[in-house]
Amino acid sequence: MRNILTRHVHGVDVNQRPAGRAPAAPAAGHAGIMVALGAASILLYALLFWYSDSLTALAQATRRGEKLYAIVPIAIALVFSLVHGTFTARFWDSLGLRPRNRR
Amino acid sequence: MDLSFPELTLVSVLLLFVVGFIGGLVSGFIGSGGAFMLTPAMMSLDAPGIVAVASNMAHKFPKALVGAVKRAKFGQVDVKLGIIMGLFAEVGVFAGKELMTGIRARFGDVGTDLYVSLVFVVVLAIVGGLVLRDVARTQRRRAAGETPATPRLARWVQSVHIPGTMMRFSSIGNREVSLLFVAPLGFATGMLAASIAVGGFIGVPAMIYVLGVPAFMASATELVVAFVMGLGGSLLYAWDGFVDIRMAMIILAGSLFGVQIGAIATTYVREGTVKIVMGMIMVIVLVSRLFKLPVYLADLGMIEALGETTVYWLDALSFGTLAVALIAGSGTILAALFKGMAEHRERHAVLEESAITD
Repeated sequence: MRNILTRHVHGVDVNQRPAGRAPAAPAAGHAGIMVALGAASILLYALLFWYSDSLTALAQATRRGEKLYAIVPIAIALVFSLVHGTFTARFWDSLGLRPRNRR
Repeated sequence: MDLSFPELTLVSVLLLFVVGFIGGLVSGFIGSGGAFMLTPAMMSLDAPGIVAVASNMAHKFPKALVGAVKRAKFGQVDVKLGIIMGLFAEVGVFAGKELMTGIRARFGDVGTDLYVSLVFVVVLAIVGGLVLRDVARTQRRRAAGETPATPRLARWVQSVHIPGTMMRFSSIGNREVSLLFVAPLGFATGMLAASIAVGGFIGVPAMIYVLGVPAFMASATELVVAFVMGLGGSLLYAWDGFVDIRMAMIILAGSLFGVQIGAIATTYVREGTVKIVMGMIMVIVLVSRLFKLPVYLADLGMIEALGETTVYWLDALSFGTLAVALIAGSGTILAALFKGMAEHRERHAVLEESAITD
């Protein structure tokens, strides 16, 4: 009976279901994937610094006319966005920063 | 062309990461607007202007991709509108670059600087003013208990039927709009992106006020526009060997952390907050450019020459105001996010408490 009555606690209609999912702790498997993605992300950045001079030389070669090298920075950007982008999403999720699912 | 990429130090890496993070936060929330700080930041690290612009673009398109995918999960993206506007924006970028090249050939670097500042001032004053006026009007209507309606101009645009040019978009309730309206909006977005690196200052308000797209969807769809436009632009710059992918990826490292938060924040706030942040940033950036105008006018001989100290302080004030715009924007977003999350948690706590007592 109480459920069908409209009650308000602290100004909230308690018969209304919450608009978003309740925050839940990420499963251990999710944490493992996040750590793996973080490690992959660090590895990518380590390679970026390691091959820093080669990347600069590649850009110079492109300017000299080796136009095929132009695809390298674009490919690097896409790979980094995929790996690091997925990692950052899981990173904030693991800290409890999750969207409120309204739609 | 003999160009050198800057030496990367720990300080420069940290600076690019932090500016990238704040820029990403703002972009994830309003669809763009974080990039205007990055070009001057890279130039302050001794990157040549063209390398700074190219590397900025090379970080922007993967960031926009990640932001768009994130916001698509929240049901906020109109992919079709984004791709179509993005393609016309690409044409706008080419035209904008041609115009800039023409001005540079005729008046030199100071001519392009003055042109960029004037575009900033005119566009931001008009569009930023309109956005803030709309926010004030909407708040008054909400206080009076009225529901915000589709803007009058958008209602007219949606009512015009030009045979052979009509296209249906999900973001405006599956209504049809003529491509003849969409094309110039995309073109203008690209022109602005080529001049001031922030096409979204036109693209987002245009989608809201001309096409009638809700603010959340407009800012999310702008990320698709930025991706399409940025991918093409980056290829163009990479073809000429101007992209310093090391700098671009360091900025991306910070901005991908930021863009996630900005996107998540949109799920906790009202539509008006997107407009407030956008209008606020536009007006502060406008002030920053006003500080630079006397310097360019003096360089062109239109006003009396300024002293070295005056130029130094005007430059510092302009750069400082840009930083204020980003910090104020990101601060407002974070405050709105944490307030929204706290309210949401409180709501859940009350509901769970009631479920237990039942």
